[in-house]
Amino acid sequence: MITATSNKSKTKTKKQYIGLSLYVLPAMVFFLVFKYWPLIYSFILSFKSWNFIGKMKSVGWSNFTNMLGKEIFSNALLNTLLYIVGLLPFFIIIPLLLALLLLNVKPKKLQNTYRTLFFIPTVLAFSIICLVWMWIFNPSFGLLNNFFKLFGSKGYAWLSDQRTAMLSIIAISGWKFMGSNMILFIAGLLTVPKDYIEAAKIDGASSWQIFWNVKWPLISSTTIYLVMTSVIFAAERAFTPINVLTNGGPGNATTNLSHAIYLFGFKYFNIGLASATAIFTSVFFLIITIFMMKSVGGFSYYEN
Amino acid sequence: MKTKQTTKSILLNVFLISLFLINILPILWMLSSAFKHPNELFTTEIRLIPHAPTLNNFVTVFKEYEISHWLINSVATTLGIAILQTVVAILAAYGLTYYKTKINEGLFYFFIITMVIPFQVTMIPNYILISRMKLINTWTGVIIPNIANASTFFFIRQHIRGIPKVFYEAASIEGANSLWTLRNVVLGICKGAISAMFILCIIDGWNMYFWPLLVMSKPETRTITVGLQEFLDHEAGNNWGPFMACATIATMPVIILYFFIQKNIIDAFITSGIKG
Repeated sequence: MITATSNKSKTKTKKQYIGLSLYVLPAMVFFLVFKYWPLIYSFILSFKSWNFIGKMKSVGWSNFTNMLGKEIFSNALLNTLLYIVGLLPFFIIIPLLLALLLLNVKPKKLQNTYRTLFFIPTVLAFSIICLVWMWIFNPSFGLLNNFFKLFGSKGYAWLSDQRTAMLSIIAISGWKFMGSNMILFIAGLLTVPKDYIEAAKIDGASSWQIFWNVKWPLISSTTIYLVMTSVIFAAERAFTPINVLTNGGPGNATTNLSHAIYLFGFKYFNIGLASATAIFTSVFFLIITIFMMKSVGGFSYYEN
Repeated sequence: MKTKQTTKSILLNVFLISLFLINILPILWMLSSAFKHPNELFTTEIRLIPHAPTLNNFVTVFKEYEISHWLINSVATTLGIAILQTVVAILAAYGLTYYKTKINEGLFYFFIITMVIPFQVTMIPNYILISRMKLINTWTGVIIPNIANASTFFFIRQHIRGIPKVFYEAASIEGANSLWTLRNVVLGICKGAISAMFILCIIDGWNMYFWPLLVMSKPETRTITVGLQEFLDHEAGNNWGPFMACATIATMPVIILYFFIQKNIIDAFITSGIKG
């Protein structure tokens, strides 16, 4: 009797496994071939010397030591850190203030309209909109300098001046993502239970106290998520504005890690060096991700 | 008390509206420049509505650039990515919910963890892979590396998991198999969420820049985002008018699409994020 049921449940589990694998198979194939294999291959390539066509040679750690000596790399790393700091107001502080302001708008319909409108830059192609900004920043006929000229100023060569190039990229990126980060903050703030706020009000807490002691701790996972996004943006996604607007210049003033990888790989065809930098970037991400996950409690499989 | 509230609310609205106008200014400026004559474009005058609006820039775009190719390439690759990404994610997410095995959790993490693999790490190996498969300058070459997407999978799984057990039980009492249940129960319930995700995928695909830049190297195989960079290859400012016309053509579909289903898009965005 016992063996009969256990046999039956065995075939049942077997059926479950077969069913599951059929559904998961396509995803498995694509994730393995285009995510995991490249990760492994990148690691292998970082110990090779290769230029896409010639013979591949093993060179040990020399790509990594080479990388550390490259000026582009040290500039890229420093700039990535500067981008992280520079983006913070645009990615975190302003969106949070805007979210708090927007939640005061009544009626609810108007509030939603604002939400919709502020989100518009998010859906636009960054590469295209960067070129529109390039025209606005144009030294001779751009909107921005034309505006400055109204006040008798000559304006600036925003994108080719060492002092303003990075600031311009930060401002444009901030413009692009301000609305979407605001929406994420709104979503976070809406999850704060009303009772908590009511209770605090009854206790006579000021609105600043309510924000700092009730709301801020409860939206920490949103904040941390957005800090992480800005780190990823600084190291990786800023590639688009950098490549389109300044190509990393003037000098290497605006290059970041992803742009350095692109230059090493597709301009100098030094695949080993590019892969070593890519591996460095992933480790950089991994450390930050683990740090962040620890502080929020991670992606939970069972919850939510 | 009441009047104080009203003034406060008016001030708030004035502030938000002016902020919105600043926010939208680059888009308005793009539209306005697209309809300007060169002699009006290259001035220091600030004017949003052109003196003499013209369609010349649009005519130039269609006459002198391969824009029809670019648009076709963009549509094809975008649809390919959006459809395959969504279908693959639905199948995996559904399988992981419908069947209960010991490896479910492991598989879930296997997919999800790829979110933290930076694009730059997979870029070179994927490029080598695509060129060995002789897929450089093809739609397939743009599409296949972008089918595996952890956030799409995550979003769809969250929704499929949210379906109450009773639906599955009812279906299994009726003797329905898994595929029937997926088609008639799951897709029915998650229709809204899945279509919102699909639209997000379309927006992402349409806006994709880095990967097609690497894979589509010939003028006629470029997608619209890559092709647009061509206007500025020729230095000198003369191409700004046609560029703005082309940028208008490339961005307007997305804005229109967005306004049709903005609420669903924002909800999907909150759960899954946009790749930009």
